Amino acid sequence: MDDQLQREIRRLRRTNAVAVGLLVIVSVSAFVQARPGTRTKFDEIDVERINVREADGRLRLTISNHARLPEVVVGGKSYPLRGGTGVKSAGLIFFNDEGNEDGGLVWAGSRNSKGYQASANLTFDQFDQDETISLGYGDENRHRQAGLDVLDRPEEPIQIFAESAMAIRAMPDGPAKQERARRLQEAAIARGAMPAQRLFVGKRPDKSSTVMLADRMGRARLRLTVDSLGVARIEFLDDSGHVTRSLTGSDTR
Amino acid sequence: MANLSSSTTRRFASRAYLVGCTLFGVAGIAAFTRSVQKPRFDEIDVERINIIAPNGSPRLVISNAERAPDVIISGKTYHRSSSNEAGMIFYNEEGSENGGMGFSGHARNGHVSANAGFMFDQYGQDQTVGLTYDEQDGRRSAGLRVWDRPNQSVTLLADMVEPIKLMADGPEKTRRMTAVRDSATKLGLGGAQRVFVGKQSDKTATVVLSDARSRPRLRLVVDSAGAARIEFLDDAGKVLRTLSASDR
Repeated sequence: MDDQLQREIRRLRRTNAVAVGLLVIVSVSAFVQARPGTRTKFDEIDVERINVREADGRLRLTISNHARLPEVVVGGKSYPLRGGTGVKSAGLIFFNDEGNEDGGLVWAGSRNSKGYQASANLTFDQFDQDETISLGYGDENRHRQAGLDVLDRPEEPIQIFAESAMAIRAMPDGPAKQERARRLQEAAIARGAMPAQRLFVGKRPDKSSTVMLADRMGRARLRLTVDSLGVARIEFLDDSGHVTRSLTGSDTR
Repeated sequence: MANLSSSTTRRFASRAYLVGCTLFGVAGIAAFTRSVQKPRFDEIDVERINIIAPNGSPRLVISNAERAPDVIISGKTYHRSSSNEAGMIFYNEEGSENGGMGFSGHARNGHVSANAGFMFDQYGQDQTVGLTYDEQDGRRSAGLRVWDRPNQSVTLLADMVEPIKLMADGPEKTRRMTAVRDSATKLGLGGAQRVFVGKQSDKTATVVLSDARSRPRLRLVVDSAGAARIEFLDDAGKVLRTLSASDR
């Protein structure tokens, strides 16, 4: 009886040792799987967002659906300024070595009560500013534009604008809010902090295809156009938008 | 005394064992939970990534060629005109394809074929703006393109073309495809390239603006010999007027 008991105890101890050993392996392997330094292979994964980070954790790229799109980060600070237009874009957001947003690739399109709205853009931002080059498409109920845009951006950091925009957004709707927004724009114009479109190559909502080169104030000065009827012309414009010279296929010179 | 000591030791050992097991259990669960919630990887190898909306519908697929999705528009699936490529396919909020980026290149039987494209589609339609590169045995074109697309849904054309795509390759398939595309063009279901900026296979650098029927009407060219000119063209492709450096 005593012998039997001791055999039983030995057997239980062995079982215990095996069980504990297994638990250790399972626990450790779970951590090893999640531990950095390994390369993992998947056939296919479903995910709502991927963050690509530097080794120290700085974000360099997010790939996500709309719900998980990151907030705008400028000057090292997050601003919930995205999506004010109601467009539910998904896509990629790029971040520079300082962790500030410096471009993106986003797209959206859906029916709404007024018809439909669609857009898609690949943009690269000027350092500490907004987009300086953009390949894009915008469409609201067949009112469409598509092409390449190049823009000058102000010398001052966009954070100045972001702070003001946040302050205005926090105000209750009404004339005071509108007045503040108007003053913000006037001040930006006065100190030369407005963007200027310098180049557009593409098609316009008036169904023309065009190449437009503009001056530093964003005023079109040279324009190549084939209009909706197929008429081609090259136009030189002055700084108030008057065509000073026009070349067409029917000129005799 | 010895008895007491031995029973104390045993009690201590069993407690330590219990605590140990509990710790390992908790650690194990924590590790697995962490890996389920937001795992971190240094690097992953994957054949396809689906970026999905909270309701599960796709917003982006990143994949190799083999796992690249067919076209999905308004809930219907269609074969592509060319083979599926490695890259990215974009989807709008309604789960319809609205652009993408694909790339491929190979040398087979001494023939090189390569291309890459980055496209945004008009809503409910095909590509409206894109960057493209194409090469066939050293004949290369690359540039920016802008297209007009019809107001009607691309599914009208896709429904016409899809059964032909499923036919075996051969003259009959080619004939029927040409016939369908011709009638689609007559119905205004095709599209028109309005802008090209880039280089063409004849080794020109060029800006071409075209009319609503794809006909070039204004062209800036620096040709392979370095000669620059601006040309106005009529709707039959005849050059109406040429400007060059030698003009007064």
